[in-house]
Amino acid sequence: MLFHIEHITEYRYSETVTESFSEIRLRPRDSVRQKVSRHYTRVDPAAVVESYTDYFGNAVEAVSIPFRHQSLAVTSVCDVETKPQTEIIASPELTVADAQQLYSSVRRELHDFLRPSHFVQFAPGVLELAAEFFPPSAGVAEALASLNSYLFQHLRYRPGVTDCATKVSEFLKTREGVCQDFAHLMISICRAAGLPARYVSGYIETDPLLDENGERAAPELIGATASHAWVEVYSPNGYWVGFDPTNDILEGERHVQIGIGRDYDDVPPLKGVYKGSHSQALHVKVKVTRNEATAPWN
Amino acid sequence: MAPSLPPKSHSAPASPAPAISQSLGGPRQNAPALDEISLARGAARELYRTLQPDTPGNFPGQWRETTRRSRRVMRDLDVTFNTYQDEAGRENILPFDPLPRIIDAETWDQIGRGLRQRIRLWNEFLRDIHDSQEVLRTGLVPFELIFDDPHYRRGAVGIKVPEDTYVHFAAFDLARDTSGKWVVIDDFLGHTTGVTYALQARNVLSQSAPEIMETASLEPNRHFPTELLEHLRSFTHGTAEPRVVLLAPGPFNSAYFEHSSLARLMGIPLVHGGDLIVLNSRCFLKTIGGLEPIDVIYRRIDDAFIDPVAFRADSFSGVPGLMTCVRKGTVTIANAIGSGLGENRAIASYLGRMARFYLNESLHLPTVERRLCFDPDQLDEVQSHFDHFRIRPVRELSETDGSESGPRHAPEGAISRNQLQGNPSAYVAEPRLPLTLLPTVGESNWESRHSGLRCFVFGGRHPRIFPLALTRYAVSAGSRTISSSKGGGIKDTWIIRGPDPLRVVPFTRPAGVLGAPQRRLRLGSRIADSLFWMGRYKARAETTTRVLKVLQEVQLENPNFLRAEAWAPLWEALARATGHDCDFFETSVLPRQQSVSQYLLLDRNNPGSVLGCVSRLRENARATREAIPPEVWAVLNQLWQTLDGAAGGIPLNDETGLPAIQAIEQSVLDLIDRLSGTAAKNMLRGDAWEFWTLGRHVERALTTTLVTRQVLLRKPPETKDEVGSHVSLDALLRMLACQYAYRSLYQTRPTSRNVVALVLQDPALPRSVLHCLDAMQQSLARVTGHRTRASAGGGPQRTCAQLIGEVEFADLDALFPSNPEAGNHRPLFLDAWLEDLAERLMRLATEITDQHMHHQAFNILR
Repeated sequence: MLFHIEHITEYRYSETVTESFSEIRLRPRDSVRQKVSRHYTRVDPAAVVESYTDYFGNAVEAVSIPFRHQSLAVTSVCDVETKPQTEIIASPELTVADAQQLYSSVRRELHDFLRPSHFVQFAPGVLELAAEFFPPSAGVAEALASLNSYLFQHLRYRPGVTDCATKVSEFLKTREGVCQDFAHLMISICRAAGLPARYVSGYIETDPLLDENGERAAPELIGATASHAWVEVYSPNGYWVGFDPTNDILEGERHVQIGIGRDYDDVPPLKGVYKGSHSQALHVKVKVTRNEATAPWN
Repeated sequence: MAPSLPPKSHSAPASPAPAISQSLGGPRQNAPALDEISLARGAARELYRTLQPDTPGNFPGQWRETTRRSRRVMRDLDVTFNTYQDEAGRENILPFDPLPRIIDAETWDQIGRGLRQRIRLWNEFLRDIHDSQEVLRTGLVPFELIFDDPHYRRGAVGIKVPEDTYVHFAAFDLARDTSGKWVVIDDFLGHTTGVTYALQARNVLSQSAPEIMETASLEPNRHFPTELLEHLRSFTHGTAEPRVVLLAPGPFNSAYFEHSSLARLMGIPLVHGGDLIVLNSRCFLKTIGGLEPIDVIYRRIDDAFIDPVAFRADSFSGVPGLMTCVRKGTVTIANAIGSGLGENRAIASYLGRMARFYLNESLHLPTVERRLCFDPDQLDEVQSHFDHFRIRPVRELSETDGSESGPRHAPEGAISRNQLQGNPSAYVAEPRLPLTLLPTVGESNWESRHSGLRCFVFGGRHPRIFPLALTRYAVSAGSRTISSSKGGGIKDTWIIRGPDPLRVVPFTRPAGVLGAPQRRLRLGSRIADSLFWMGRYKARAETTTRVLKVLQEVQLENPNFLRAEAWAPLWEALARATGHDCDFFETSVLPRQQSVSQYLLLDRNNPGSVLGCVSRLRENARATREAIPPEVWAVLNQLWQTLDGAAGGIPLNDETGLPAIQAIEQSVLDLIDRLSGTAAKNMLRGDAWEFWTLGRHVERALTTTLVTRQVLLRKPPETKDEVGSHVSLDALLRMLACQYAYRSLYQTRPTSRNVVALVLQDPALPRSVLHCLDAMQQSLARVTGHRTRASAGGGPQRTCAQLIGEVEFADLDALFPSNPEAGNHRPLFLDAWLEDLAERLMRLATEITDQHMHHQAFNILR
């Protein structure tokens, strides 16, 4: 499936900023399931954009603006082709205990995705859920699917109640939040159960899909202004499989991955420091459009 | 998978651990202390014998005197350490003991061999960790230790550093095990503190007890700062004139003294995060002349704080985007990002294995025998012989991280069994090492104190140990607290010159480059700002004191001249000069019912008081200490202490306390003169000097203008009240310290017109407005490099030139009506003109700061 994505982030500062430095993580990654055919980043005020690849393999662009400015706008435009996810996490009979055994040979490579991290904590509630969903004898694939559904059913998607600093323990109390909170909680539970899990930032096509008669062909998907976050769990077979607890689905063709990391802290879309102003207002606009040329989704 | 474990001791095989009773001494007891003197060998033993510190009956009183002298030197040099425990005093003078620790050449050679290997080993390990991580792939070191360490910088993995060097400079704490052999108890790779204390210890001892210094032939160490600088400069590729800066968190950090004095000794700028800026993957220093590219950053902040975008976003000490420069290799960070891993005590226990793995050697100088509590077997052992061990965290919270304030240390105290069991991987256990005893000078005898030794090593292709070491000791008997931040003291450390004396290190740079003198680095904008304000506060403190003093004297001298209104012009002048409304002293009740003198001289809450000005002068100097000669700092400190001491005393009474007040005023004026003189004698005539000069002169021109205006505006008319007019003008001349200048020029009693001509237009009078403007114009020309017509420079130069023209050629006769009618005697034109002049002088000050300090980085993109 071909997508054209335009992502505009704009910071308006309350006072004139004398210098700012920002890192942008908005270029979708290339993987077996997706190909980026075109991407560019534009910064206003104009500045040189430098890029590098970070520890987790994400494309990062850095922008330094060393003169007075009132606002900073970053426009990221790309064309991405996605493929459906066909791999399954594990055969039905593989138990949690089996999986943990299989991971031990790649324990060093997976270490980061098994330990608590900035937003991922083994809070008491997390440990309880881990014990409940992943007893050693449970089938991994089934347990993961039911955890995905459980989170969807028991947590409420409600923008504005949490922010990008909300920790898992707080989310567990309020049970209201956005995709980022859903993802952090699911990652925490998986890791507490000894299943390697990582955070995915990306986009999701949110427009309702209509069939030939103009009826809804699929439920409308939830994502914060099309920016989205979900989870990948490492399959004992040696690849990562995406779960989207905010929508109770597996990652599919309508998900576009930007970057991966231990949690949000490793892949913030925009991270910056500015001097001279006390506060800033953030405006984000994301448009994910299906490219006309491709066959309709079915 | 079970983590692989290192052997528990260098000599014993991996297991079993040596029997507890043999290796650890008694429970809870500190192992019987070893005496350094009895362990000393060869020439060191001889020297100790000469100094006779081990003969209790033979305690010459001169040692006590030497101790007192050396402590005085410590205070004068202001060798301080900020202890966070002590809320009241930010800076504490370190205790100093004059009896040196003595190390013979052979022992030093052995230590050097061991530490050279150790720094090489750490470097190999760090290079590997930031590259292919072979040591983890082979399982030689458990990967959990690395990946879970907060100093493992994922952002630095895969980046190649210049010369493959991670550890440019390191320190190691040594102790002796029960058999007297040296072991390393701590590795300092992230930030290496203590080196200036070691240098100062030698400095203090040679100043206070030169006769002791003569007894020995020692390895010299005074050239350390230059060697460190040359060493750091060698880690740049191809830059002809590498620029080095010292990046430190700021004056509230516990090691600020060390940072500032080291920067000064090395002759490099001490910078804070905000002084640097990153543009197109290049790091620049903001200077008064523009942006200066920087090649090497000698950092004294934790790398977690070094780049708020790459690492901790809450850091205010760092440089946003610095990692992009590191990634492109345009700047060398010493020590490299990620080298803090080497401060993990558990990792250090694997050095023996690493020595075989990386170097195929055995470890010359072992790490203290540690139990690693993350290993269940070793934890069991520790728990079952809990009292034999000293439980230590795997890594210390650093003393010099980037945060600005707050306690750095976990509260002192033993870690309990439960704490250990709750989070075993956070701790290691060590035998209670003896910490050897050294004699110190007591009141009437030698007193033994526990001590530790810190050595300093240069890393890189050819590691070497520098003949400089820091000896710290506990100040009270039985105490094992030797840390300076917790009140421990320092001693000089003598390294005896061996048969093969000091090897001069060959220059690492090609000779051609060496010969070429560098263009002096322009002054950092923040430093310039501080110096400018120092100049202003100095002038302000001086004016306030002088004006108050003259006013009091004039009142005493003219007891019959009692009408209150006669004093009004002088009081109003005082009010204006000290930043108050002109009727302040007539209408206001002074806060807290203080006397005028108390309020103007010593009130801590009055920012315009002399103490207030001197405090801020000192704060600014403290924040820029590397730019201030120590002699200047010493005088400034004395000035502050004089005022601060007086402020702590009995409140001054304007009438009965006059002698005391006058004594304070006189010593303040004397000290301010000494401050100016010392600065003139010791400061380089560079940018720093110019900004100090600019500040002093702008303030002086301003106060001269304000005081003159106020006195002339309100003084009794000349025609009617000869006495009143004369007294006011006379007082004005004295306030501006130009009575002699007036008499020698006019040879008559003062008249308003002549006084104005003198204090405004006489280019030879140091306090005249014209003289001040001339001085400023010269400074501005030197700062901007324009030696041609000043107006060509624009900005403050243009303003200054315009003011000079106006003041110099002002037609005073037009401002003073030649035949004033009674009732219309007041020089209103003059008054408006002076008011305007004052405003424009203030604008000039703003223009100077705008042009040179708050300048915008060049927009090099357009």
